[in-house]
Amino acid sequence: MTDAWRLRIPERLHQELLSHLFRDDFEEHGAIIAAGLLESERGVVLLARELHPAVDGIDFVPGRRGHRRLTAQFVNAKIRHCRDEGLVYLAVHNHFGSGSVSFSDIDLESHERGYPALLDISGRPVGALVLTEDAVAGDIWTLDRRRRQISETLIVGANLRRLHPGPPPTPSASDETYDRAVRIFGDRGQNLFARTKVGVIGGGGVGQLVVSYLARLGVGEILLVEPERLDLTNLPRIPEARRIDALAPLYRAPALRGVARRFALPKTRLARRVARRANPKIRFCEIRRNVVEPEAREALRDSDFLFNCADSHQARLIANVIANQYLVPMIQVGTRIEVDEDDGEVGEIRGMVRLVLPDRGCLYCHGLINSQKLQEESQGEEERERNRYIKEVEAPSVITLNAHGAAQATTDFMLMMGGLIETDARLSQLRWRPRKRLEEPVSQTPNRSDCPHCGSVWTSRRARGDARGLPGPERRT
Amino acid sequence: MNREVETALAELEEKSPGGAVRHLEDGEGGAWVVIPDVDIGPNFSPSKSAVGFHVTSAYPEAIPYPHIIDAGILYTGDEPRPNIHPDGNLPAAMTRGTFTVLNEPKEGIQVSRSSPSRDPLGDTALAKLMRVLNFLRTHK
Repeated sequence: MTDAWRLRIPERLHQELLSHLFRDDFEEHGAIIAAGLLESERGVVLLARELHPAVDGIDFVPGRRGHRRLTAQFVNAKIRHCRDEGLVYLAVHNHFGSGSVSFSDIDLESHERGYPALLDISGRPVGALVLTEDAVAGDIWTLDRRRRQISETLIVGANLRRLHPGPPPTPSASDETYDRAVRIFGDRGQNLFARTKVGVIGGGGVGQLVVSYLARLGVGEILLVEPERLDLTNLPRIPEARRIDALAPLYRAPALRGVARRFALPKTRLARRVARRANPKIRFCEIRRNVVEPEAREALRDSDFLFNCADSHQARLIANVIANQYLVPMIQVGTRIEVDEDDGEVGEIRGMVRLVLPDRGCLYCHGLINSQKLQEESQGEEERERNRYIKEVEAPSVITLNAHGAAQATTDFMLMMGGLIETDARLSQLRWRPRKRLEEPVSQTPNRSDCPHCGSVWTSRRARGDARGLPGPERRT
Repeated sequence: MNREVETALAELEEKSPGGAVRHLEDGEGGAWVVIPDVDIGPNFSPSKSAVGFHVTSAYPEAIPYPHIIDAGILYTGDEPRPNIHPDGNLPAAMTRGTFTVLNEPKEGIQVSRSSPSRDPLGDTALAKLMRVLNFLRTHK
């Protein structure tokens, strides 16, 4: 595990915080943020969940040593709240200036006086943040009494804005290979792609293209979760798949088709080959399991960005929970071709790309996770068979529709990472209907405060981090 | 069992519409559940049955479906009985066969009531069971 600690703040919470701290009075103001925690080999990330503004003159008063201070009563109430909710206590105040920020000596002395006791009460890390409008610094204390700084704060919105304690270090010059992209994103943007981990759920027709595009963009780490091996019928939709990868010659003998399906190249292995050809330096991790299984879902937790390219409701559930519980921006891609089972008539053809971001509603409260289908998928094969659910017929699929969705989704990713989404962009679901030559945003209702995934109710998973388990089967011992 | 499934079982035990709730863990965080002696309404004979269902590890996002009642139940009401079977024809959404109850194959009647218009937020295994029972009890 690295020593780097990072912070993610939903855009709306950050705006509320700025409005509270930076007012026309040009004074210092205070607040508490209660945050979830993500710990992985990539470091520790604090996940801002709740904002508790301190009321001037009541909770935030003139200090004996410093300029202003939070009252003992306010601190006491909030540290106990954080302890009871399993959240990290972060005291916040503001300084003025631009481009950099740091704690004053008086601030640091007050942490030294107060934080050991707060650690004892909460039983988990505590700390402080100091903000200007464009910089964030942190002083986080852990139970071993070590102190850690916040190296980067990510504002999670349509544009993924990064704030630092000071001017970020000058990026190294990018590999010449990326010259044309650097002309859009600069060396800093290209460096950002190189240190980003993207989780991709589903290595079928859409997922393979997404992986290929991400690798060509210079993304540094991809984790692909896909349990299946290549099948002969996959070949027309995966550009770099060879017939031998699917053991196609064996399909000539019906008795050998099962052998071909059993020993064909795993889809994750094909994606790895494609990604490494595009970018030999890429770190490619493959998990050949269903995404609900513990190894898969837990490996996705520390992604910086998530794509759901699988069509199961289990995949939607896991992707949606991780997006909300760990504040990971997520894009869901899907295509659908309606064909009448009786007469073969082709109905509507459509593709969808949905952004899942804090405060914009999620797949669950928008009714896009089907309870019954999820129940079927969560039962064992024998039980499903006995319950006589109608077997899913293989859905029609073609590469051009997949390519449209994959290109739109990775373009959205690229623009969000680069901070190039325009402020009046419509962030709703984007749907296209090629038979009508129509592309349209589909309005979505805002998130529901009582949503157990993205809502603000105390029971919700939003920004809870590792304090809540992920749904799905338990790890077998 | 995961926390959500434990919560569902606690609610079912507290407000059981029948006898003492039995359960068997499925090894993945969920549990198969059977509630004996549940009143299924006047148009079934006998009018009490055990009800079995599976609370999976995906609960509460996945709500239990289908529900299984005893094989010996006969429908005595006046509604059409499109589900033809030598052991007794049944109204729509009810089928005789072999289903999974407490992880064992068992002869029974499957009651398939999906809830497409339900509010996904706040639905529980108990609420779904009560909707199924209401469906059975309001048969004419």
